[in-house]
Amino acid sequence: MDRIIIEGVRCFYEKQSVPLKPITLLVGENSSGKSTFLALVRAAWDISVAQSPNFNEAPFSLGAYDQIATFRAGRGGYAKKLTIGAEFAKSKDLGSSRIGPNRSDSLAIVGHFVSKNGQPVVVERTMNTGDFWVSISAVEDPLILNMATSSRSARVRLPFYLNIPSSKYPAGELALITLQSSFPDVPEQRYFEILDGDLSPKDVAEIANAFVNTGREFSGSRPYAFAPIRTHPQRTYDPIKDVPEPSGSHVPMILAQISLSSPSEWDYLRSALDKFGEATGLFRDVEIKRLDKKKGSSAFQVQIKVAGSAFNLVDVGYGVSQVLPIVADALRAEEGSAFLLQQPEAHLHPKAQAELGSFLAVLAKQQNKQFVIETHSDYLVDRIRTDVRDGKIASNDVVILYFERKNGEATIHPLELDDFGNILNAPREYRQFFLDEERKLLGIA
Amino acid sequence: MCVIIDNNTSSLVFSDPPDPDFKPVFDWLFESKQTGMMVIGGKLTEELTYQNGRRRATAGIIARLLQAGRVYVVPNNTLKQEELQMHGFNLQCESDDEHIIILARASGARTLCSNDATLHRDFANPQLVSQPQGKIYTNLGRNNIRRKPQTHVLTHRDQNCPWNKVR
Repeated sequence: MDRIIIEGVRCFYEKQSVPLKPITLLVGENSSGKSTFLALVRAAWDISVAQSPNFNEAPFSLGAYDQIATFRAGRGGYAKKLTIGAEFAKSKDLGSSRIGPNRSDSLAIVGHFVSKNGQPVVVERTMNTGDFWVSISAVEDPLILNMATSSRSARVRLPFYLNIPSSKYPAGELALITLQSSFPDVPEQRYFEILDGDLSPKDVAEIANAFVNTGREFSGSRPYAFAPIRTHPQRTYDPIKDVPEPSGSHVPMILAQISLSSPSEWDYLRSALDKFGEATGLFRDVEIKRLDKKKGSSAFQVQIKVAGSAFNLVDVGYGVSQVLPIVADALRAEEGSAFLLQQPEAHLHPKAQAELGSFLAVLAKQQNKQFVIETHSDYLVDRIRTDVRDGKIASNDVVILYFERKNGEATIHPLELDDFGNILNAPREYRQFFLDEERKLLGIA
Repeated sequence: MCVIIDNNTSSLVFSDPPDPDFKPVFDWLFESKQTGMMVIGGKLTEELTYQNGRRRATAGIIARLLQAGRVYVVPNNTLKQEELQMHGFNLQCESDDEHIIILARASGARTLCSNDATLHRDFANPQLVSQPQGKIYTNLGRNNIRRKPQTHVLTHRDQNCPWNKVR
C-alpha cells in the first residue's frame, strides 16, 4: 500500500491522504491517533480486497460505530459516514486502453461506512485507476455498479457472480472478475445488463479488465500486526499451537518446528537472528533445546547464548523475549510482506533500538518488506535517518508521519527526508516539547 | 530563514543562559512561533561539536535541533564540490574561514552569526556570497528583533536555503 485515505474516524475528522513507504515511522504524543492509524492500515487492506474489516481484531480494539466515528461536541455529533481506503501506486506505464488513456499506474479503493445496528457497515466502495472509476453499492441486491471514464458513464446491473474462488489482490473481487470474464459481444454470455448511460458492453468489460489487471500488479499480503506488549517468555514450551498471534506467542513454536523439520531454513533463520543479536548486543546465539526426546515429548526450551554458556529465555534480559517475535517473524515472512509494529523498541537498550531501526531498513530494502512503525524511540528514528544519509536505504523509501493533536482532532504531517537524512518540512510544533525541555533544563525562560 | 553560527559566537548563542546579545538567535531557533533554521556541515560541524577531541555541550543542543528538523547538515561531498568550484573561479577569501563561505554558497544560507570582522567582509562580499547578499548578525544593539522586525537580518528570506526548496 502506498497511501491511506481516512475521514471521519476517531480523531481524524477531516479527510487525510497519507503516504506509506517501505519504512513508515509514526511519531507523536499519546492519544494522537497512531494506534488507530495502524488499525486503519489493516482495515484499508481488507477493504481493497473486498473483505469487511473487523475493527476489533487483535491487537486492535476500536469498538463499535460510536467509538470509531469522530465525535464533535455540539451540533456536530458523530460523523454520519466513515471513509477508509488505500492507494496502490507504481511508476510502470502500462500504455493506453482502447477507450481512454489508462496509465494503470495507481489504484485507489475506498470504502464508505455507515452505522447499522451500532456497527460500521460498508455501504459503498469506490475505485479509481487511470481515467476509470467504479463505485459498487454494497447494499443493493442485485448488485449495481456505476462505471465511468473521463467522458462517459453507465449504470450496470450484475444479477449473479461467477462461482470462482475469491482473489486476494486489490480489486480482484468477484463482481469485477465476473464483468471481466463476460463475452460482451455474445448476449447470452454477457453476465451483466447496462441500465443506462453511454458505455457499450465492450467498454464495461474493458473497464473491469483494467481494474482487475491493475490490482494484480499490486498483489501483496495482509499487513500483520504485532501487539504493543509481546508475550511473556516461558521456561518450557509444550507446543499446542503455532497460529500467528499479535503477542508473538507462536514464535517459539515456529522456531522449534523449523529447527526440527527444515535444517536449511533453520540455518538461515538462526544465522540471521545471531547477526541481529550480535549487532544489538542482545545475544550471540539462539538454540532450541528439546526435553525428554526418548519419551517422545515435544517440550522444548529456548536457550539464549549471551556470552559463554547458554541461558533460558526467561533468564536473560526481558528485551530479548520482547523483540525476538518481531525479528523472527520479519525474517521468516515472504518478500513483499507488510508489518504493523507498536513500540518495537519496548524494553530495549538505546543501542538495540538503533540497531533494530537498521535491521528493519535492511529488510525493507533487500526483501521488499513494508514496516509501519509506531515508535517513541529517538534512537530508532535517528538511526534510520543516518541509514538514509549513508545510502543504506533510499530517502524515498522512508517517511516520518508526525501526528499532531489539537482540540481533540489529529492532523498527520508527512515529513520528507532528503538524501542526507535531513528532515525537509517539519512543522514548527514537531518536537517542540523536547526543545522546551532543553530550555528549562538550561534555566532559560 | 537559515543562519550559519560561527564557532566564535556559538558559545554565546548556546551558553547557559545565552548571551543577551545572542538570545534573539537562540529564541529564533527554539521557539515554536519563530522560524529559525540553522545550517552546519564539514569543518564547522566539527568545531561546533568537538574541541580538542572532547564533546562540547553545544553538540547536544544541535542534535536536538537536528532531530526537530531545524538544523540542516550539508554533506561533505557537496561542500567539496563547492570548494573546487570556488577555487576554479579563483575566488579568494580574506579571512581564514573559507569553510563558512563554502557552507553559505553550498546551502543557500545567507545569515551569519559571527564576531570576526574579516569574515564579515567576506560574507558581505557579493563576489563570494550573493543572490541574495549575505547579512551579518552581531549584537542586540544593531539588530533588535523587537524594534525592527521588518528589517531584522534573521527574518529575511533566503530563497536558496535547502528548506525553501520544499516549502
